[in-house]
Amino acid sequence: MNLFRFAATPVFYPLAGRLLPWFTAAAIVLTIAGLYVGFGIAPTDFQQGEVYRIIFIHVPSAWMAMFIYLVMAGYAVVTLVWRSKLSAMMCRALAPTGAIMAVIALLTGAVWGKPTWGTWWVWDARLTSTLILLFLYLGYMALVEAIDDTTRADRAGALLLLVGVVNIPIIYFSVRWWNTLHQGATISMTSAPKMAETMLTAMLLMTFSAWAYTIWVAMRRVRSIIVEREAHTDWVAALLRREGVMR
Amino acid sequence: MSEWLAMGGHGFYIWSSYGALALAIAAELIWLKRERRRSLERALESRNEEAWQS
Repeated sequence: MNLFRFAATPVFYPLAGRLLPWFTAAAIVLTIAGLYVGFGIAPTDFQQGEVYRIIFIHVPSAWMAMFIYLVMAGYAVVTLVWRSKLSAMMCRALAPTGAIMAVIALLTGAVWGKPTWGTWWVWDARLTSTLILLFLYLGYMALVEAIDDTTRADRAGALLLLVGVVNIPIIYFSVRWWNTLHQGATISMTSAPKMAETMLTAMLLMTFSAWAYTIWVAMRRVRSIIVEREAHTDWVAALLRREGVMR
Repeated sequence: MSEWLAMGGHGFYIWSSYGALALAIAAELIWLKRERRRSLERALESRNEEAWQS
Protein backbone atom coordinates (compact mmCIF):
# COMPACT_ATOMS: atom_id res chain seq x y z
CA MET A 1 0.00 0.00 0.00
CA ASN A 2 1.31 3.41 -0.87
CA LEU A 3 0.70 5.81 2.02
CA PHE A 4 1.39 8.81 -0.18
CA ARG A 5 -1.85 8.04 -1.97
CA PHE A 6 -3.67 9.57 1.03
CA ALA A 7 -1.60 12.73 0.67
CA ALA A 8 -3.29 13.36 -2.66
CA THR A 9 -5.95 15.97 -1.92
CA PRO A 10 -8.76 14.39 -4.02
CA VAL A 11 -8.30 11.23 -1.95
CA PHE A 12 -7.72 12.91 1.39
CA TYR A 13 -10.65 15.35 1.21
CA PRO A 14 -13.50 12.79 1.13
CA LEU A 15 -11.62 10.45 3.47
CA ALA A 16 -11.36 13.23 6.08
CA GLY A 17 -15.02 13.98 5.51
CA ARG A 18 -16.01 10.40 6.25
CA LEU A 19 -13.89 10.35 9.43
CA LEU A 20 -15.26 13.65 10.80
CA PRO A 21 -18.42 12.31 12.52
CA TRP A 22 -16.37 9.71 14.40
CA PHE A 23 -14.11 12.32 15.91
CA THR A 24 -17.09 14.54 16.74
CA ALA A 25 -18.73 11.65 18.57
CA ALA A 26 -15.50 10.68 20.34
CA ALA A 27 -14.90 14.25 21.53
CA ILE A 28 -18.44 14.57 22.90
CA VAL A 29 -18.56 11.16 24.60
CA LEU A 30 -15.09 11.55 26.13
CA THR A 31 -15.90 15.05 27.42
CA ILE A 32 -19.11 13.86 29.08
CA ALA A 33 -17.30 10.89 30.62
CA GLY A 34 -14.38 13.08 31.75
CA LEU A 35 -16.66 15.68 33.35
CA TYR A 36 -18.71 12.96 35.02
CA VAL A 37 -15.65 11.32 36.57
CA GLY A 38 -14.03 14.69 37.29
CA PHE A 39 -16.98 16.27 39.07
CA GLY A 40 -19.10 13.30 40.10
CA ILE A 41 -16.58 10.75 41.33
CA ALA A 42 -13.12 12.27 41.91
CA PRO A 43 -12.76 13.26 45.57
CA THR A 44 -11.95 16.68 47.00
CA ASP A 45 -8.20 17.28 47.19
CA PHE A 46 -7.04 17.36 50.80
CA GLN A 47 -4.68 20.28 50.18
CA GLN A 48 -6.28 22.33 47.43
CA GLY A 49 -9.96 21.66 48.09
CA GLU A 50 -12.19 21.81 45.01
CA VAL A 51 -10.15 24.23 42.93
CA TYR A 52 -7.86 21.45 41.72
CA ARG A 53 -10.71 20.41 39.35
CA ILE A 54 -9.37 23.07 36.97
CA ILE A 55 -6.52 20.68 36.14
CA PHE A 56 -8.98 18.51 34.19
CA ILE A 57 -8.83 21.16 31.48
CA HIS A 58 -5.54 22.85 32.36
CA VAL A 59 -3.28 19.82 31.92
CA PRO A 60 -4.90 18.46 28.71
CA SER A 61 -4.82 21.90 27.06
CA ALA A 62 -1.19 22.45 28.08
CA TRP A 63 -0.22 19.01 26.75
CA MET A 64 -2.16 19.63 23.52
CA ALA A 65 -0.52 23.03 23.03
CA MET A 66 2.90 21.36 23.13
CA PHE A 67 1.89 18.29 21.17
CA ILE A 68 0.19 20.20 18.35
CA TYR A 69 3.37 22.23 17.94
CA LEU A 70 5.44 19.04 17.66
CA VAL A 71 3.05 17.66 15.03
CA MET A 72 3.29 20.93 13.10
CA ALA A 73 7.09 20.77 13.29
CA GLY A 74 6.89 17.21 11.89
CA TYR A 75 4.73 18.44 9.01
CA ALA A 76 7.19 21.32 8.55
CA VAL A 77 10.01 18.80 7.96
CA VAL A 78 7.87 16.95 5.41
CA THR A 79 7.04 20.28 3.74
CA LEU A 80 10.67 21.33 3.44
CA VAL A 81 12.15 17.95 2.47
CA TRP A 82 9.50 16.50 0.16
CA ARG A 83 7.84 19.78 -0.92
CA SER A 84 4.54 18.21 0.05
CA LYS A 85 1.56 20.55 -0.16
CA LEU A 86 -0.85 18.76 2.13
CA SER A 87 1.65 18.83 5.02
CA ALA A 88 1.92 22.62 4.74
CA MET A 89 -1.86 22.87 4.72
CA MET A 90 -1.97 20.70 7.86
CA CYS A 91 0.38 23.15 9.60
CA ARG A 92 -1.96 26.00 8.79
CA ALA A 93 -4.99 24.01 9.87
CA LEU A 94 -3.47 23.08 13.24
CA ALA A 95 -2.03 26.48 14.21
CA PRO A 96 -5.24 28.23 15.38
CA THR A 97 -6.22 25.25 17.55
CA GLY A 98 -2.71 25.13 19.02
CA ALA A 99 -2.94 28.82 19.84
CA ILE A 100 -6.33 28.31 21.49
CA MET A 101 -4.96 25.43 23.56
CA ALA A 102 -2.05 27.62 24.71
CA VAL A 103 -4.45 30.44 25.65
CA ILE A 104 -6.65 28.03 27.63
CA ALA A 105 -3.61 26.54 29.39
CA LEU A 106 -2.34 29.99 30.38
CA LEU A 107 -5.78 31.26 31.38
CA THR A 108 -6.81 28.26 33.47
CA GLY A 109 -3.33 28.22 35.01
CA ALA A 110 -3.73 31.83 36.09
CA VAL A 111 -7.20 31.21 37.50
CA TRP A 112 -5.89 28.17 39.39
CA GLY A 113 -2.79 30.05 40.55
CA LYS A 114 -4.70 32.90 42.18
CA PRO A 115 -6.34 30.86 44.99
CA THR A 116 -3.49 28.29 45.17
CA TRP A 117 -0.29 30.31 44.79
CA GLY A 118 -1.82 33.67 45.67
CA THR A 119 -0.98 35.21 42.31
CA TRP A 120 -2.38 35.19 38.76
CA TRP A 121 1.00 35.27 37.10
CA VAL A 122 4.73 35.02 37.83
CA TRP A 123 7.62 35.00 35.40
CA ASP A 124 8.24 31.37 36.22
CA ALA A 125 10.18 29.28 33.68
CA ARG A 126 7.24 27.12 32.65
CA LEU A 127 4.74 29.98 32.48
CA THR A 128 7.12 32.15 30.47
CA SER A 129 8.05 29.39 28.01
CA THR A 130 4.36 28.56 27.49
CA LEU A 131 3.69 32.23 26.76
CA ILE A 132 6.50 32.06 24.18
CA LEU A 133 4.75 29.01 22.67
CA LEU A 134 1.61 31.11 22.23
CA PHE A 135 3.69 33.83 20.53
CA LEU A 136 5.22 31.20 18.22
CA TYR A 137 1.74 30.10 17.12
CA LEU A 138 0.67 33.70 16.55
CA GLY A 139 3.94 34.51 14.78
CA TYR A 140 3.55 31.52 12.48
CA MET A 141 -0.02 32.47 11.60
CA ALA A 142 0.93 36.10 10.96
CA LEU A 143 3.91 35.08 8.83
CA VAL A 144 2.06 32.73 6.47
CA GLU A 145 -0.76 35.27 6.11
CA ALA A 146 1.68 38.07 5.31
CA ILE A 147 3.35 36.35 2.34
CA ASP A 148 1.20 36.29 -0.80
CA ASP A 149 3.02 33.54 -2.67
CA THR A 150 1.56 30.37 -1.15
CA THR A 151 4.59 28.12 -1.67
CA ARG A 152 6.99 30.69 -0.25
CA ALA A 153 4.66 31.37 2.68
CA ASP A 154 4.48 27.65 3.42
CA ARG A 155 8.24 27.24 3.36
CA ALA A 156 8.92 30.34 5.46
CA GLY A 157 6.32 29.16 7.97
CA ALA A 158 7.86 25.68 8.10
CA LEU A 159 11.26 27.21 8.81
CA LEU A 160 9.84 29.31 11.64
CA LEU A 161 8.18 26.20 13.10
CA LEU A 162 11.49 24.33 13.08
CA VAL A 163 13.39 27.15 14.74
CA GLY A 164 10.72 27.43 17.42
CA VAL A 165 10.64 23.72 18.22
CA VAL A 166 13.58 24.25 20.61
CA ASN A 167 11.03 25.82 22.96
CA ILE A 168 9.15 22.53 23.47
CA PRO A 169 11.85 20.69 25.49
CA ILE A 170 12.38 23.94 27.39
CA ILE A 171 8.71 23.91 28.44
CA TYR A 172 8.79 20.21 29.20
CA PHE A 173 11.95 20.21 31.32
CA SER A 174 11.52 23.72 32.75
CA VAL A 175 10.18 22.40 36.06
CA ARG A 176 13.26 20.22 36.40
CA TRP A 177 15.93 22.62 35.16
CA TRP A 178 14.78 25.67 37.09
CA ASN A 179 13.37 25.54 40.56
CA THR A 180 10.76 28.26 40.25
CA LEU A 181 7.09 28.29 41.18
CA HIS A 182 5.38 25.78 38.88
CA GLN A 183 5.21 22.32 40.41
CA GLY A 184 7.07 19.31 38.99
CA ALA A 185 5.53 16.62 36.83
CA THR A 186 2.71 14.66 38.45
CA ILE A 187 2.48 12.25 35.55
CA SER A 188 5.65 10.74 34.12
CA MET A 189 6.54 7.79 31.97
CA THR A 190 8.98 6.38 34.50
CA SER A 191 7.11 6.39 37.81
CA ALA A 192 3.63 5.87 39.24
CA PRO A 193 1.41 8.97 39.06
CA LYS A 194 1.29 11.00 42.25
CA MET A 195 -2.46 11.51 42.26
CA ALA A 196 -5.66 9.63 43.06
CA GLU A 197 -6.73 7.16 40.41
CA THR A 198 -10.11 8.75 39.71
CA MET A 199 -8.48 12.18 39.29
CA LEU A 200 -6.04 10.66 36.82
CA THR A 201 -8.88 8.92 34.94
CA ALA A 202 -10.78 12.19 34.57
CA MET A 203 -7.68 13.96 33.33
CA LEU A 204 -6.86 11.25 30.79
CA LEU A 205 -10.45 11.17 29.50
CA MET A 206 -10.29 14.93 29.00
CA THR A 207 -6.91 14.52 27.29
CA PHE A 208 -8.30 11.99 24.79
CA SER A 209 -11.26 14.29 24.25
CA ALA A 210 -8.85 17.13 23.45
CA TRP A 211 -7.13 14.84 20.94
CA ALA A 212 -10.39 13.95 19.22
CA TYR A 213 -11.45 17.60 19.20
CA THR A 214 -8.14 18.74 17.72
CA ILE A 215 -8.22 16.14 14.94
CA TRP A 216 -11.84 17.01 14.22
CA VAL A 217 -11.35 20.79 13.88
CA ALA A 218 -8.00 20.45 12.09
CA MET A 219 -9.57 18.19 9.46
CA ARG A 220 -12.46 20.58 8.99
CA ARG A 221 -10.07 23.49 8.61
CA VAL A 222 -7.75 21.67 6.22
CA ARG A 223 -10.72 20.75 4.04
CA SER A 224 -11.54 24.45 3.65
CA ILE A 225 -7.92 25.22 2.79
CA ILE A 226 -7.86 22.40 0.20
CA VAL A 227 -11.00 23.67 -1.54
CA GLU A 228 -9.51 27.14 -1.92
CA ARG A 229 -6.12 25.97 -3.12
CA GLU A 230 -7.45 23.39 -5.56
CA ALA A 231 -10.24 25.60 -6.87
CA HIS A 232 -9.07 25.13 -10.47
CA THR A 233 -9.39 21.32 -10.44
CA ASP A 234 -12.26 19.27 -11.81
CA TRP A 235 -12.92 17.49 -8.55
CA VAL A 236 -13.45 20.79 -6.70
CA ALA A 237 -15.77 21.88 -9.51
CA ALA A 238 -17.78 18.72 -8.92
CA LEU A 239 -17.75 19.45 -5.19
CA LEU A 240 -18.97 23.02 -5.70
CA ARG A 241 -21.82 21.68 -7.80
CA ARG A 242 -22.68 19.11 -5.14
CA GLU A 243 -22.66 21.79 -2.44
CA GLY A 244 -24.98 23.92 -4.57
CA VAL A 245 -22.48 26.79 -4.78
CA MET A 246 -21.99 26.39 -8.53
CA ARG A 247 -24.51 25.53 -11.18
CA MET B 1 -27.23 22.34 44.07
CA SER B 2 -26.08 25.85 45.00
CA GLU B 3 -23.67 24.28 47.46
CA TRP B 4 -22.27 22.15 44.66
CA LEU B 5 -21.97 25.20 42.42
CA ALA B 6 -20.11 27.07 45.16
CA MET B 7 -17.37 24.38 45.01
CA GLY B 8 -16.24 25.02 48.56
CA GLY B 9 -15.73 28.73 47.88
CA HIS B 10 -13.80 28.10 44.64
CA GLY B 11 -16.83 28.28 42.33
CA PHE B 12 -15.73 31.51 40.68
CA TYR B 13 -12.33 30.12 39.72
CA ILE B 14 -13.61 26.77 38.51
CA TRP B 15 -16.58 28.03 36.52
CA SER B 16 -14.71 30.90 34.94
CA SER B 17 -12.09 28.39 33.73
CA TYR B 18 -14.66 26.02 32.26
CA GLY B 19 -16.64 28.99 30.92
CA ALA B 20 -13.57 30.35 29.11
CA LEU B 21 -12.99 26.94 27.54
CA ALA B 22 -16.63 26.67 26.42
CA LEU B 23 -16.45 30.16 24.91
CA ALA B 24 -13.21 29.37 23.08
CA ILE B 25 -14.68 26.17 21.61
CA ALA B 26 -17.89 27.94 20.57
CA ALA B 27 -15.88 30.72 18.93
CA GLU B 28 -13.70 28.23 17.05
CA LEU B 29 -16.71 26.26 15.78
CA ILE B 30 -18.52 29.39 14.56
CA TRP B 31 -15.31 30.55 12.89
CA LEU B 32 -14.89 27.11 11.21
CA LYS B 33 -18.41 27.25 9.82
CA ARG B 34 -17.84 30.73 8.35
CA GLU B 35 -14.46 29.68 7.00
CA ARG B 36 -16.04 26.70 5.23
CA ARG B 37 -18.66 28.87 3.53
CA ARG B 38 -16.09 31.50 2.61
CA SER B 39 -13.70 28.94 1.14
CA LEU B 40 -16.41 27.54 -1.13
CA GLU B 41 -17.29 31.06 -2.27
CA ARG B 42 -13.66 31.99 -2.87
CA ALA B 43 -13.07 28.79 -4.82
CA LEU B 44 -16.01 29.66 -7.06
CA GLU B 45 -14.75 33.21 -7.48
CA SER B 46 -11.27 32.13 -8.53
CA ARG B 47 -12.77 29.63 -11.01
CA ASN B 48 -14.90 32.36 -12.53
CA GLU B 49 -11.91 34.69 -12.78
CA GLU B 50 -9.89 32.00 -14.50
CA ALA B 51 -12.70 31.24 -16.96
CA TRP B 52 -13.06 34.93 -17.73
CA GLN B 53 -9.34 35.36 -18.42
CA SER B 54 -9.04 32.42 -20.79
